[in-house]
Amino acid sequence: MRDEGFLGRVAIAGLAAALILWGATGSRSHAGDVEHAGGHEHHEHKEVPGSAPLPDRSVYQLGGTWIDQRGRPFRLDQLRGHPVAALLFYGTCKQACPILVHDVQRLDEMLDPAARERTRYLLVTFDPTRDTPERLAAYARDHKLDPARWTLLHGSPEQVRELAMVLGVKYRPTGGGEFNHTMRITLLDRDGVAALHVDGLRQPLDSLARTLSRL
Amino acid sequence: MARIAGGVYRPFYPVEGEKTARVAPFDLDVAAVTNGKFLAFVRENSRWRRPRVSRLLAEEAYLSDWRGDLDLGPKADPQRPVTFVSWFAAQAYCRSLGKRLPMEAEWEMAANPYPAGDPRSRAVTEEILRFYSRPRGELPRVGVLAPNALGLRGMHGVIWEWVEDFNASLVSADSRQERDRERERFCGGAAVGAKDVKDYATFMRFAFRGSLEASYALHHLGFRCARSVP
Repeated sequence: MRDEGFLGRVAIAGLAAALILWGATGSRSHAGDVEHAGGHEHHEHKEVPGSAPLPDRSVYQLGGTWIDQRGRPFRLDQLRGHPVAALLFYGTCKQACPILVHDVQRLDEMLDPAARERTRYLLVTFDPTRDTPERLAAYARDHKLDPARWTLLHGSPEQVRELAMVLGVKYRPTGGGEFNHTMRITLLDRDGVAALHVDGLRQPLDSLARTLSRL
Repeated sequence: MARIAGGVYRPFYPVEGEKTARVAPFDLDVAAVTNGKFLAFVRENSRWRRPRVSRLLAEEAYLSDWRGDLDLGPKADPQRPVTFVSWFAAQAYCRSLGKRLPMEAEWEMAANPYPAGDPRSRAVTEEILRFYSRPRGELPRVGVLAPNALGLRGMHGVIWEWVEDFNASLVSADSRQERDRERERFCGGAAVGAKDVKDYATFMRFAFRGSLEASYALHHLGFRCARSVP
């Protein structure tokens, strides 16, 4: 069931964009030094949480206050000091998001007890209209997500967009409460610097588990 | 700013089930934001000066054609569009004035106000393609550009422009596997194809947006601001 026409057009688009970028800037260095799945990490931040300024590339530079599934204000830098697996999702997503969340639960089960103890999970909704903190609490209960280690966040559409931008997640509302979006799990080090992105569902989780254990 | 009437926008890359989007009336800057205006913003907002800005929000090339942190120098004419600005910087500038970046649907409607198939729409497309195929030298000053039918200057032919939701463009472009794998990477299924594959100019614009990240600061990428009509 392949649609050659569509794929062909996408390939042309990618090429055109690459040429445009190359033409505009010559050779360019990539913003950030985030590795993709299979690579190794560079970040070596060992500061005691809260004692030093955030690294320049920390996602926690975004600031702002969210609301968690317990209805309490939540700043992203409250996760400082913990390795974090973060993803964007939405509660009414029937197809892929439950699998993605399940992937993260499997990842959690692969960690040794010490790594499990220190790791936190961050799930942020694309859909603040439907996913109220109450709905996020129900979602967490239904999926047996321990509130001590799993944080589900509700924010303004602007906050969600900014977070998606720094995590490199593309998304688009397609009407009727549905979203078309990248499936991405991002591992953040203890200072909130992205160490690893993994795209797609049902990816091999052992490299994530190894990375997470080292962060 | 110019008042844009709004109306029904047909997404260039509809996904399954997505037909049209209603665009409410909005105001759009008549011209791109200039170096001179951006300098005034940077003076007021020190966290957007080159040495202060977070690498999370703007890559190294940010404002790299300015001579100094608060000095435009010979390469950045105050009347020419500011470029080498990231999406975050563009957004912060607009917010500082109580404005915002235009949504992609808004920008596209303002860029070509004629319905698809209208001969005037074809003329716009041809003009854009001429722009895309031309090597770009020095940017023109924003005031000298001829306005389009809506009074907007330089919507095509000068720079690429940031839109608020550029990360919604061509959402599936970077997964070039067969469809089954692609479905696994995107919730809700992949795009089913462009509404008008002959509109190569629009295609390039969407491909370009799809290739961006919000911290990028590029030579020919600037912006203008929008405002919702209360």
